[in-house]
Amino acid sequence: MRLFVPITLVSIILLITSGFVYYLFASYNWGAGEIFMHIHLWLGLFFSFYLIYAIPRHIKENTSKIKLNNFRFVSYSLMGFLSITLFSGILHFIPYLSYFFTPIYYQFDTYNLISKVHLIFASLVSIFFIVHLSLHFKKVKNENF
Amino acid sequence: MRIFKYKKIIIASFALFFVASFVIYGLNPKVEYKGIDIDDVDFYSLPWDKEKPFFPGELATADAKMGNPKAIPSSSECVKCHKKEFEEWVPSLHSISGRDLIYENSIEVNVDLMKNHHGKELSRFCDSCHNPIEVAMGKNNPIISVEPSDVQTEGLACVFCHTATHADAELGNGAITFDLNKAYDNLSGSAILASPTDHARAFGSAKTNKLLKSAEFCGACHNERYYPPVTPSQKVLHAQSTYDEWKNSWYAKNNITCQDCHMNYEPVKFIGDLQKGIVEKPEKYSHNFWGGNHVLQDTNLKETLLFLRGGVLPGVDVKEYFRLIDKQKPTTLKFLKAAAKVEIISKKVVDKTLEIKVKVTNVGAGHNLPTGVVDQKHMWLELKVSDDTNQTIYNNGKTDRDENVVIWAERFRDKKGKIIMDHMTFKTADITLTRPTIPPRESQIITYKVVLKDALKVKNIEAKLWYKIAYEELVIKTLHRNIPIPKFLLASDKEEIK
Repeated sequence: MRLFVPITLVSIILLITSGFVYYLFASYNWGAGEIFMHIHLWLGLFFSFYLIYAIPRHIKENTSKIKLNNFRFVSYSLMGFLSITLFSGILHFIPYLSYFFTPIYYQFDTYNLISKVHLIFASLVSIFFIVHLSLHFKKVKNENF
Repeated sequence: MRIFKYKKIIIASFALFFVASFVIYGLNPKVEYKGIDIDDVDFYSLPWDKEKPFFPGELATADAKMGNPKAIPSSSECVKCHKKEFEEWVPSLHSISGRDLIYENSIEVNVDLMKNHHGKELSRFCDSCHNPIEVAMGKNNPIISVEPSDVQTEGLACVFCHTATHADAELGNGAITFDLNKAYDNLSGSAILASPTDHARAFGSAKTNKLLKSAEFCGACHNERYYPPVTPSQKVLHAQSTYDEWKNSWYAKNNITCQDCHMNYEPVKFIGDLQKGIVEKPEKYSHNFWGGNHVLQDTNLKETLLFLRGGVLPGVDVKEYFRLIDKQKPTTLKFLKAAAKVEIISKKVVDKTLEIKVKVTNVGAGHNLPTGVVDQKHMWLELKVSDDTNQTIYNNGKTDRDENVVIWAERFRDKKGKIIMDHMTFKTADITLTRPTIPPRESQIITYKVVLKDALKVKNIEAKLWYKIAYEELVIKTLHRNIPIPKFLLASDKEEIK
């Protein structure tokens, strides 16, 4: 688990930034915007698989160290929000990949729902991730002094 | 120490993102659809208004340029994802509005009629509604310098309506402005499948859909006026006023739009509900465009139908084409029948004369009956009286050619006042009505007087309202064949005298 923090940090930052850049700025240049989408989708997929492997270990290693209830609440909420975000992201990835084989797609309303869920929970992940890191830094700082 | 390491990773991640963004945006400059300058369309002729390249049609492009044949996608591109909508649109008349053989040949004949008076340029008037993409590309020209593409053969193709930005129903004659730049989002198929919402966003669908749901959008083509140079007359001739008819009706006052009936998944039920006073606008709209042309959906005609519809559309094979038409046909027939009602409301004998009153009501259409190109689409009433031995005593209106037949049609007339039966638009100098068409939710009462030898023998009275999509003269003129056009029974009533 030595690389858990760098991998997670880099992945989440790149996923959040690429996602929001695509959402907010793609319409100014769809060609460039699409590249952000490709990066976002593939990175999201690999990160999802990585988390399936890494999160149980991360929890196992750290749960006993968490003494603050707030930190515990934020961490578990973050995990929940992240799961929903990644799951809704994978729901976007399935039709994306299917295009190269047998295209499958959902009803437009279903897409709308998935997109909204993905966006709302990604926003929550961004906030809770910052809080999670802040609490972690605070804890480390307290331990050092 | 660990905090410092994390900070470094965070800063490095953001730095990586910013560098990547600059590289991505730097290597991918915005690709825009570029319309073609009118001067760059070789030999493009502008005999009238230089500012209006599609005149006498009222069509316009948002960038005031000609359409780019290399960049405008065919509807067969859209079918990859919008299969349902494509399959609804394929059997409709909107998909063949440009390639329908009778229409296409009618254009040729009209153009030929005016060959020394910018006939080809005049055809922009007709094609502004029937084949707007072709007009926008500059194909309606004496010398064609536009390379062919699938979308030019698709009549009202997906990109036309779904890039519309403005419509003027009062002006009519194809007064739609469309922004082809919207059909050029450059998103790959996989990206669209991942997030079609963005494709809709690129097309500006929130704004466009509002326009597409309005009656004004339909009215831009379903209001047709002939004025010079289209007609030799100096006055404006109202050839088609479907939108105006709707606007003055109960339907417009109750916000029932064209789309509510013609793009309804269950149009007959919707019309039935309206008659019961139930107004429930559909949540979703189909692309069937239910209309009045049952002949061009008659699959019993087999190869002839294919011939009349101008062959198969790009993106569909013959078998599938017939399957889709067959699927739509029953509703088209029921839809037509839902429009009118015929009632024998009274009968009395006065001095050996049987007086019969027949009431014809427009019960289901949000426009007059008949409507559209009424010099061709017409309806007439047949009254048949028979005796107790089933012998016909009186029969008026067996065909639309009968003497004194009660018929609802327009008569195009040339400069000499002679009736034009074959839709020669460019020589139409006047338009008259045989009798006023029937407005929505209104009736006309027709009185018949049948002279009888023996009134007691009258047994059956039957009234039938027939509809025909065109006159045979049009087929003779355009296809050089004398093919009888089938008549369609819109409504009937029968009374037995005991």
